[in-house]
Amino acid sequence: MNWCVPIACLALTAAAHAALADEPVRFNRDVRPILVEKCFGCHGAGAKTRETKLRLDSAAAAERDLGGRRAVVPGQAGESELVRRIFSADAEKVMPPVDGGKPLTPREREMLKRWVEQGAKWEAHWAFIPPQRAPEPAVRDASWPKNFVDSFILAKLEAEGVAPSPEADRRTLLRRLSFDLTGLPPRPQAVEDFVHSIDPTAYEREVVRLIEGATSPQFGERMAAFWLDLVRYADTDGYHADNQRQVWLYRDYVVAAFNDNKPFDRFTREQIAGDLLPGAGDEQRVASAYNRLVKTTEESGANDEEYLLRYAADRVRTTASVWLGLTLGCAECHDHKSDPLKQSDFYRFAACFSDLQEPGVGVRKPQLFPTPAKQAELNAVDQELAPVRAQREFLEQEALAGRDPWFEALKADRQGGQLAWRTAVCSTLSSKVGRQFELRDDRSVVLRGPEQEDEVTVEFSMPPGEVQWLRLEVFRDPEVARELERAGIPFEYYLSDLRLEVIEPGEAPRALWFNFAATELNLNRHSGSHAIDSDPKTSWAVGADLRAPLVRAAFHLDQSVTAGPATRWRARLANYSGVPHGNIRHFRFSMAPDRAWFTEESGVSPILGAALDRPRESWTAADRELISNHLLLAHPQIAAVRQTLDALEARRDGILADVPACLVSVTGPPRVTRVLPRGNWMDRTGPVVTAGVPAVFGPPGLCTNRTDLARWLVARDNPLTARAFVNRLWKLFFGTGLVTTLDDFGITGDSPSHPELLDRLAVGFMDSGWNVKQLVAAMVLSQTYRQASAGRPDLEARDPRNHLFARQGRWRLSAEMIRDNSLRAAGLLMTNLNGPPMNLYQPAGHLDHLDFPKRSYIPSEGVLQYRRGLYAFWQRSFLNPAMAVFDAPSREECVAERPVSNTPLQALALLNSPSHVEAAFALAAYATDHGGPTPAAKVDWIYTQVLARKPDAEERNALLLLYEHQRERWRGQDARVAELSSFGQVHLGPAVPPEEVGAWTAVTRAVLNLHETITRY
Amino acid sequence: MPHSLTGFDPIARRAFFGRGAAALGSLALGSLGGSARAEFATTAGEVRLPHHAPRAKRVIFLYMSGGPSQFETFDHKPELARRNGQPMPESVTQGQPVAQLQGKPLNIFGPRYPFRRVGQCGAEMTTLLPHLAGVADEMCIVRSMQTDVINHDPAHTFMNTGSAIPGRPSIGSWVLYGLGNEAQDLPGFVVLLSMGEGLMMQPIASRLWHSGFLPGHLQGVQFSARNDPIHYLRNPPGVTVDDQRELVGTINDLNRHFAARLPDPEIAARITQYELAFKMQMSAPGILDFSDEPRHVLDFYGVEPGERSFAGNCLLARRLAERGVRFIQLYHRDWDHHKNIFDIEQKAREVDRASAALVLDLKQRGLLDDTLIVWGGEFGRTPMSQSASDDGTFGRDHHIRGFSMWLAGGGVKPGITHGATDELGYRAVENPVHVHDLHATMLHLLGLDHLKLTVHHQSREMRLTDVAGRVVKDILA
Repeated sequence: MNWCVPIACLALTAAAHAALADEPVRFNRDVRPILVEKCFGCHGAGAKTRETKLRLDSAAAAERDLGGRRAVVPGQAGESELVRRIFSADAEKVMPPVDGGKPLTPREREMLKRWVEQGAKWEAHWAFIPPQRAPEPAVRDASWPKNFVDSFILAKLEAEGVAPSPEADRRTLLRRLSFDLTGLPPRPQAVEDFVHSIDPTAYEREVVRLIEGATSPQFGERMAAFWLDLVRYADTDGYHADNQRQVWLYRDYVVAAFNDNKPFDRFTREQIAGDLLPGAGDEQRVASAYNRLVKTTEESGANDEEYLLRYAADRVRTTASVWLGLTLGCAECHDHKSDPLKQSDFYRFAACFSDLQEPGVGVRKPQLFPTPAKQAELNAVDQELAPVRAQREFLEQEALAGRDPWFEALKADRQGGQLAWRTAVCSTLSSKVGRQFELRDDRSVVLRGPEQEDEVTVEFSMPPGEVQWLRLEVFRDPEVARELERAGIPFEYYLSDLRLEVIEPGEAPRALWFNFAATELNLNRHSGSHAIDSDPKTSWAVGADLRAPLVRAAFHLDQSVTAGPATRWRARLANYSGVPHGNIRHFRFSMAPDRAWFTEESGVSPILGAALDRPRESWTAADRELISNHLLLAHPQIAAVRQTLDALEARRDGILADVPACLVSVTGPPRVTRVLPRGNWMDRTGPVVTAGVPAVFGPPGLCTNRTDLARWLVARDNPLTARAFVNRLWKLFFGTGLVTTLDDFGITGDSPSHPELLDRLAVGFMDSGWNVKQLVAAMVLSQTYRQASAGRPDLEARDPRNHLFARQGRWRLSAEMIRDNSLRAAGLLMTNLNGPPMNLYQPAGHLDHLDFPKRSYIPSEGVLQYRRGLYAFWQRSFLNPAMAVFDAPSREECVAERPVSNTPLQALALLNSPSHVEAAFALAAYATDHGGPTPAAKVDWIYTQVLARKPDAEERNALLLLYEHQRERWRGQDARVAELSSFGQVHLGPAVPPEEVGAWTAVTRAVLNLHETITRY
Repeated sequence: MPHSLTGFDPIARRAFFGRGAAALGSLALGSLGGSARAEFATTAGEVRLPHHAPRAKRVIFLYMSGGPSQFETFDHKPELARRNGQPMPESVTQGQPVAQLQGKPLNIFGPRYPFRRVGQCGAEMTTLLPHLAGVADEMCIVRSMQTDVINHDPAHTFMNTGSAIPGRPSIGSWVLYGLGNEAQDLPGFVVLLSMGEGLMMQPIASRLWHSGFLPGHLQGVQFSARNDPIHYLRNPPGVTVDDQRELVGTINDLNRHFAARLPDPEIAARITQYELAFKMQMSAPGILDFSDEPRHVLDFYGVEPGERSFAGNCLLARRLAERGVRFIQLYHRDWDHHKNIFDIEQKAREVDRASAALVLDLKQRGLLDDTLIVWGGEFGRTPMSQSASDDGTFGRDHHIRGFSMWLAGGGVKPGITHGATDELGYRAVENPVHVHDLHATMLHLLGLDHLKLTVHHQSREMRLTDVAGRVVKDILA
């Protein structure tokens, strides 16, 4: 091989330069990069932005006659205006222009000239030509290559006169392999076994074990973390309120797909159009959730049409980036500036998805995926529900027939003053948790005190008369609300159980029963009936986002009570919701006879009051509907049926609560897609387009819908998909892509450092039936992969970015890996736990600035807290800070490459964040038990546990010194140790002396914070 | 020349002063194993040269989240009062985007507060902002702002990143990218949030101060309103300062030892970060401790002890500015007055005194000259009313064709009013200032050319101002 790559860092030596003069110029290798960098700014493809008549992006354009002059005359440099202008001494004429242009180097001028001399042959952009299987190059050192990957790498190294690096030591190698293939460190024992193995295929066995891991899904989890960044998977919808959405089944699908080695072409088709595949089952439908991962909004005042177009554009950007490595998103408002992508291509691509049915603005409804057993339960409830529903309908028809007389009677009662609400006068109050109460002049009661679930018992009296309603008014007192806001406590309340007793003089208290509740407001699934349903687990609840100053709830007794002047009442309000701050804080009771709640004073039907004052003849249709509705609500038999219905529906909800749900693709009649001039959604003057792939890749008929698109993405002659994917995998295992611009295979993207290797991998990938595990194995089994990552003086100047791969890369672990690594070392990590996302530890108030609704955040408890970072709840607008600080992306847009930063905030997170401190504490506890008899043995054990190696003498001494100092500091400090151990969920037996806990926690914190610990070498 | 993102190519990088290394050497944690490359990862104490002589060294952006009404504050439209209740002419509204008024009657809504002329300059303001009226001669009111997007979420993103598509760097990150961070032990881009009292809290997202495709250390650091200003600033419970000092010392010793065995510039950077982190632990909590501020200063801002408020954040902003923080952004939420325009009184009460105090305080300390203050929201509000309920109250919907902001200090012409909307306050007709123009002007004042501050990303030279933006020369002092 005797070619080289025009990338800036590979400075050509004088000798190489001279040799070049004899060699034929190749357009893609030698000429295009110059045109891209220096000329296309003005003479490129972006038709509307071109500043001159001349275009240099095709042979036809460059050779066009522009009034007697032609920029390029093949074979005749002297006749070519291009050559004349770049060599011109005239500051007015020279190209690129003196002001603003990037000047050409002498070598570049020479190259352009020779290209013209040699006939100005054009090549299509490398990435737009389907990859060809290149023969494996010959190498001088035939003993080095382990497989074809190495032949390509070594051939180039030999041509460059650079030696490859020696193989990494076995500890480093297995740690590297383990992080790369599973995202987790190796077990210390596995490292020892590997280091001491005499099996010549020991390494290959490790590769197979880690990829195949028949019983563990860790390969899939690691690959999923990579894929989820690309497809911008998250657990929230992204815009505005950034509410939760159900898509985690898709995440688990991705994990399983990689574990099961689902062929990548099938994986692609299922995600893009799984719902449309013949015989699509649940798996394919879940896969099609890919199309629903777009950011969506529930913002009021947003325009449906505008947002549907936003989602369409989002899909184009993401899909083109994920599969094609193209920046098609740049063509939303105008033709692409450098790539041959027209604005119409963008909209034709968008039209491929136009069959997807979704709301523009608002809540999205997921599909349920019950297990067969759950489905059977649901069917059973539905069977019970059907006759009850029918009965209700019958009763309702009957009741409505007698509407008008009913209403007249109600009116008469009201005029007679028999429907007035009478306010209770409280005499005594007791609170189970010792809250203090204050009685206000308006007879309301304010409670203050411990934020614990409370039971409040109130005794009160009432003016005599008929009673069948107990009304509870709950106030949002501004003063109380302010106090709460300062304390960071959301204003919300839960009434889990309401009891009422009537106490006649000289008699024992008599319990009364409610049969119906009517509430002004409630949280979803927390209706008023839950306060009287005898189930302490369910509550009537009003949520934190509600800022109404007053909410009224009326509870109906199953019988009327006639109260005398000495009758007393006792009510109990209980909060068993599990929300400690969810007690009612400010309330007032009143009572009234049966039909009183139809008055505006009841708070339940304020508008009905107006109708009551009007003669029947002047009722509007709306009045009539209102009155009918209230009649039905008041009807005792219907109320009873409704209770049965409520109970059944609650049961159904209960079953559904455990049924996984997932947004999936739903097809329907395609929406009309137009080209939007300048991307402006309000401009409807653009032409209507049909579905299609960018014209540069094929004729218009090639693709007419989503299924076609899915097929085309993984078609054998698609030049991009396989290359983009293998390049990204290469990056995962070597630190740099063969094409460094992972998300730009377009004309301004970097050229491949090893084009033939890239193509060989891509062709091999397709030929293998898109076999991902085989591709991964080819990479990690190579000798190139096994090299040491240590820097080399000879490479520092020669190849600082490691484009030659004369050594392995080294880089900081990802956010998830850093956390998982700490937990694994401490023995806390739980693997094999997929399912709904878990809440990591998170600083209080992190979600304070999200509303609609206000968020309360409770970290997952027990082992759920220790699941892998992959399963962390991904809140797009405010990602968990311990993840974000280590460059985990918000996943609002496709991310092909996470940045890798190194900041003081990372130091703070590793030193002080709950996960890492808890892990350090647990590891210390572990070490005191298992680490060996002496401090030195314990230090060695900790080091091995974290780093898969023993410390050297100096490292050991430094940690022993830390241990000894710290032991003195922590001696007798029981209170401080108690604080330290109060931190997370890990607790120590009393047998361990405090100074040991404190000192070993310092040691483990030190080791978990080492640069080596968070680096993959 | 475009900046290089990789940081490993010294040729592509612009000159900088490696002040961080010198300053950190004073820390008693041992010597710095720093190399020239360590600065790439350093968040503090790193200054870069601007493109041209700057007028401002730092920015305090008082961001009124939700979209304050210009008609109740800075844009005097007597014609609206005269035609109050009449339909807005269709010729004005046809084909224009609307938010919650979709499909509703569009009736003219007169201003609710009287305007008066204030200051020597005679700027027009309503009686709602008495304290700001007192600093009118320092202010440059822009009445002709325009933006592109009409819903909160994308409009916030647009105002902060120059694009409605999430993922672009925020203006603060661009500024840090261009100029580096002067502060020795604080992040260069700090975000402070406050809510006050209100009913319509529109959410915001951390993407508004994210660094997008710029390096991660350039993103804004949100000072938490509860507990510690910076996440994980506090030692774990039970761990003392001395414990922590010894721990960090040991970590760095071990890292240095490892670096000797396996040379890696990232280790040197890591060591620097641990030293810096410990310094932040020591000094950052102090910045929130106002006990060294005299009572009259607290009163001047209207700071209530023990309460994190907009007023407290304004005072904190001054303290951050004094310590060299480059870009300080205060978000005060709940200016979204759809239903009852009179709710704006509460917001005005919350920000008026402190905004004015900040201007005067900076001036008295000689900091206003090189501190650019920007005040405004993601958009303005309609000259039409929005009636949300039957209770007879009216508010205003979102509006993007013309709204008001103001700037002060930092090389901006004081005591002027720039630009104007048409007589119905619908469109900016005189000297329109688009968000891109605002950004270009802010960068210009900081010594940065918005056309040159670019980075190559996804096939383009990306910049804050996208493909637009022009410096508003008329408002430069």
